[in-house]
Amino acid sequence: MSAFAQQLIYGTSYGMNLAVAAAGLALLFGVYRVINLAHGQLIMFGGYIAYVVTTGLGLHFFVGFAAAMVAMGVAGVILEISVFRILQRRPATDQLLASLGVYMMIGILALRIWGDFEARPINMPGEEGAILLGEDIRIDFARIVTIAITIAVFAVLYFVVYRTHLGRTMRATAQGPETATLMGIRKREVAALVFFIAGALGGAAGAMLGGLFNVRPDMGFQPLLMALIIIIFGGMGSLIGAIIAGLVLGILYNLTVFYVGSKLGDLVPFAVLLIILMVRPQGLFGLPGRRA
Amino acid sequence: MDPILEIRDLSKRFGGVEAVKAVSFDVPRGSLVGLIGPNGAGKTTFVNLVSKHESPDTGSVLLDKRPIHRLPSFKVARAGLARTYQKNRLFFEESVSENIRTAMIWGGAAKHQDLSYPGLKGKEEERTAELMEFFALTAQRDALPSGLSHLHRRRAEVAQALALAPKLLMLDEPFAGFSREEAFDLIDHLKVCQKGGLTMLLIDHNMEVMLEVCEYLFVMHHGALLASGTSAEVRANPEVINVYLGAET
Amino acid sequence: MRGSVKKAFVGAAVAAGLAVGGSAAQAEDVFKFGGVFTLSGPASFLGLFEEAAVRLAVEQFMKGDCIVEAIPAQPCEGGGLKIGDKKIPIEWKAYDDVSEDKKSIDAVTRLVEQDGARAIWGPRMNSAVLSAASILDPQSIISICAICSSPAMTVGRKWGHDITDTGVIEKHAISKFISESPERLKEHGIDPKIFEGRKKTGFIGRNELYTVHGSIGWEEGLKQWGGKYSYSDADKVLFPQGTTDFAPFVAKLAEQKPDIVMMDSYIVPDMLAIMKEMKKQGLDFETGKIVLLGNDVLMLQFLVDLAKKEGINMSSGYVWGWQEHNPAQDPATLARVEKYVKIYNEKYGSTEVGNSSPFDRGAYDAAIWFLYGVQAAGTITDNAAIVKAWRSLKINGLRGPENQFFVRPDTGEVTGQLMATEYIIGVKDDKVFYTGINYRDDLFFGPYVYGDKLPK
Repeated sequence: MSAFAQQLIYGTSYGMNLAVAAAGLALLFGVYRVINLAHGQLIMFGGYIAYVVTTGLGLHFFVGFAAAMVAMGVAGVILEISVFRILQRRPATDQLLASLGVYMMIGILALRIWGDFEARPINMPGEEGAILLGEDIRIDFARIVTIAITIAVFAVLYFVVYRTHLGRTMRATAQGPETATLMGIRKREVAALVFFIAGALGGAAGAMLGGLFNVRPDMGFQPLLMALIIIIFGGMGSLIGAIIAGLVLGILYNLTVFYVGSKLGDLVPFAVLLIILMVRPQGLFGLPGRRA
Repeated sequence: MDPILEIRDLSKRFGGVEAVKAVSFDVPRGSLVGLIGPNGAGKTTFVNLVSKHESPDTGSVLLDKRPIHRLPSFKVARAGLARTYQKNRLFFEESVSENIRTAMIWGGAAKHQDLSYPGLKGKEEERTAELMEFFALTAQRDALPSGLSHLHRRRAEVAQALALAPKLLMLDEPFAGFSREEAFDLIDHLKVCQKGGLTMLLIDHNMEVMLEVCEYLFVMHHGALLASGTSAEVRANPEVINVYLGAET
Repeated sequence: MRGSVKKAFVGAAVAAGLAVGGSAAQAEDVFKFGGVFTLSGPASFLGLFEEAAVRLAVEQFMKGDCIVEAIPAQPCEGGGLKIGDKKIPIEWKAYDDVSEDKKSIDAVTRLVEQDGARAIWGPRMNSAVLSAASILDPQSIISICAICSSPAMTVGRKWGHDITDTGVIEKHAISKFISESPERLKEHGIDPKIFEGRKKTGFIGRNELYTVHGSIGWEEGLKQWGGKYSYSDADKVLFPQGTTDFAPFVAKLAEQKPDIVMMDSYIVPDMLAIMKEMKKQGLDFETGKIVLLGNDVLMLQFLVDLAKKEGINMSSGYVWGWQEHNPAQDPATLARVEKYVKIYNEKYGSTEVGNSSPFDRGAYDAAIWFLYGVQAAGTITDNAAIVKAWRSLKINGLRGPENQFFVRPDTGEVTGQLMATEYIIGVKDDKVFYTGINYRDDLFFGPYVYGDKLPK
C-alpha cells in the first residue's frame, strides 16, 4: 500500500511537470491552431537558462525559474515572428514541419553551447530534504516545490485566460479570428502574446524538470511526446484537460513502471492515445468536431 | 448634411467579376439608412470592403472624416465601425455576457461623442448589464450561443456590436429568418439606438421591411449603385422596379 | 525527431594527393575506407572523438608518424601504405548517422556501393550493427568498430572486428572483482568488508541492446566466479531513452533491496540522475548501504568531478568500475600516450570534439593497427588476406603493450575480437585510482564471446 502511495506521489509530480509542458502546446493549438514541435526544445532551453542563472550565476532557483520563463517567452515570440507568421496561411503540415526544423536547430545550438556529455545540475530549494510519512513514504521537498509551482502556474494561467482582457482576446481569437478582428482585436498581438505565454510555460517545465534531476540536450523529447498525447487526451486546446490528462498519464506511467514492468512504461502514453482516439477522439474536454 | 460615412468610387474585382463597381454615397450622421438589392448585387462585398474584411481595389472610405480604407480591419473596428454578419459569429464557447465584454476591450470610439445609446457609458459591468437588459437577455447572461433561440442570438450579436461603442453600425441581413413581428421587435430596439445618436446602415433584401423602416435607401445592382432616395422615391423608380421584377427577389 | 540535423558529409578525402611521383592516383591505387559515426544528435559524444581519432590516424600514417608500433614491426614511412615498392594513398570518408539506425544503414550502403570502400568503420549503435553485418559480410567487406561494445561485431562473423571489449566481457570482469577472495582484495589494499554479507544484486540500465548483453555478461560472470551473489534477470530495471524522471525506475530497483547495484549506463546525465535518486530512495552508496558498480564511463575522472558538483560523493569506497586502459602501467605506453595526446589536443581540443580521453585512444590504436594489417597483407584488394595478416599482428598501442586478437580455444581460430584487458578502478579522495587488479584471459568465455553463431 505504501509503495502504491509512493508511486502516486511520484506520478503526481511527474504528471504536473508534463501538464505544464503540455499547457503551452494546448494554448498554442487552442488559439493559433498550430502544433509547435519546437516547444520541446523550449523546454530544454528553459532548463539551460535556469541552470545558467542558478548554478552559473549563483542566484536563487526562483530567479532562474523566472528567467527561464521570460527567456523562453521571448524565444516564443521570436519564433512566432520569424517562422509561424510567415507560414500562417500555409497548410498545417508545413507549419508542423517548420516547427520540427526549428526543434532540430535549437537542439544543435544547445549542443554547441553546452555539449551533451555533461549533465548540468540546477540547485533547487529542498533538494536533499523530504517529508517522511510513516515508515517508507517520502515526499521530496523538491517535488513539493514543483507541485506547488505547477499549481501556482496553472492558477495564474487560469486567471489570465478566463478573468482578464488579455485572456478574452485570446479566447476570442481562438473561437473566431474574424469576429475578434471585428472587436478591434489585433491577431498579431494575440499571436505574440500566446507564443510568449506558451514559451514561458515551456521554460517553466524545463526549469522544474532540470531542478529535479539535471539539464541535458535531449530532455525536451520525452516531455514533448507526452505533451502531444496529453493535449489529444485532454482535448486540443483545453487547459483543464491538459492538467487532468497530465496527472493521469504521469501516475499511470509510474504505476506501470513499478508494478507491470520498467520496459512497459513507454507503452502507456501510446496505449492511452489509441484508446482516446478510438473512444473519444475529441479528448476529455474537447468539443466534438472542433479539432482541426 | 453632415455625413458620418463617405464612400467614394469603391471598386472590387474578383478575377473577371466586378463585384463592386465605383460605388459612391454618403451616410448622414444619426440616420438609419438601408442598402438593398437582389441576391448577388454585391451588398455583402460592399460591407466587407467598408469594414476592411476585403481590401478595395480603388476608392476611399471616410468614417467621421477619417480615411479608413487603408487601415487593417481591427483598426477600422477601433475607429468606431461595427458590423454584424449574415451568419452568427458569436464566440461559441463564451457566455452572452462574455461575448459582450469581449467587444469592450478595444471599443469606445463613440464614448466621448455626444451619443447616448444603451451600453455606452459607465463601467464595463454596468454597460454589459445595461445592454443585456435592453435586449431582454438578462436571463440568458450565462448561456452559450448554442443554447440561445434564433431571436436571442441575433439580439446578442447586435448587443455585442453595440458593446464596441461604435459611431456607425452596419447590420448585414439582420432580419434573415425573422417573422415580421420579430423583425419589428429588433427595429424598435434599433430605433432607440438611433435616438441615442447611433448611425446605422442596414443591408437586407427584404424590400418590404426595408422600405418601411429606412429613412433613405441605396439600391445596388450588378455591383453598381442603381438608385437612391427615400422609400417613396425608390418605390417609384422604374429601374428598381425592373430589377426586382426581372431579377426575382 | 532527435536533436540534430544531418551533417551529410563530414570527413572529406584525406591525402589522396600527390604521393606517387606527382601523377594522379588510379582508382585501384588508392586504399578506400570509410566510416559511419554519430557526429550529431544526442549521442554525438560517442562518435565525434572516434571519427576524429581515425582521421588523425590516417593523417599520421600518411605523415609517417604512427606513434604506435606493430609486432612484428611494420614500416610507417609516410606517403601511404607500403605495398611492395609502391606507396598507396589512403582515402578516408565519414558519414553521420545522426543517432538514427536507418541513416547509419543508408550510409553503410552508400560507402559500399558509391564510394567503393573496402573496409567500413561503424556503425556504433548495437541495433544497427547486425543490419550492417547483413550488408557487409556477404560482400566480404571488413567491418571495424572501436566503441561498439557488442558481441554482434564478431561472434559468428568472418569480417567483423571489435577493437574494444564488449558489454559481456566487461561484466565478466567486474563480477570477477566482487567475487575475489578477501586475501586478493587485501593484497591490493581493498577492505574485504566492503563486500561482506552482501548477496543480492540489482541491475539498472537504459533499454537497449548494450544493456541486455551487459545483463547476460553479469549473470554469466556471477555464476562463473562461484555463485556468491544472486541475480534475477527478470528483475532488471530498464528505463527508456530520454527518461526525465527516474523516480519510478529507482523505486523498482530499491524495492528489490539489493546489496549491490550494477548501473549499466554510459549516458552521463542518466547516470548522475540515477545516482541522485538512488541516494534519495535509500540505495546509498555513500554510506555503504549498497555497493555501486559501473562501467568505464563511471570511472572517468570527469564524471567523478561532475558528480561531486551535484553533491554526489563517489569516494566512499563503495563505488567501483573498470577502465580498458592504464596509461601508467609502463613508461613506453606512457610516452606514446603523451605524444599522442599532445597532437590530438592541439588538433581537436578547441573544437567540438574536445580533448583526448581513453576512448579516442582505443580508436586510434585500432586504425593504425588495421593499416599495418593491410600493409602486412601486401594487398589492398584481397580482404581475406588483409584480415588474416591484420589478426596475426599485435600492437604496442596507447592502451598498453601487446594488444592482440582473441584466439578461440575450441578451434584455434583468431577472431576479430580484441583481447582487451580490464583494469579495476575505484575512487578515493575524489580521484579515480587503479587498484592494480586486472583481468584478461579469464574473461573470454561463453557463447556471447565466441562461437559460430550469436545465441538468440
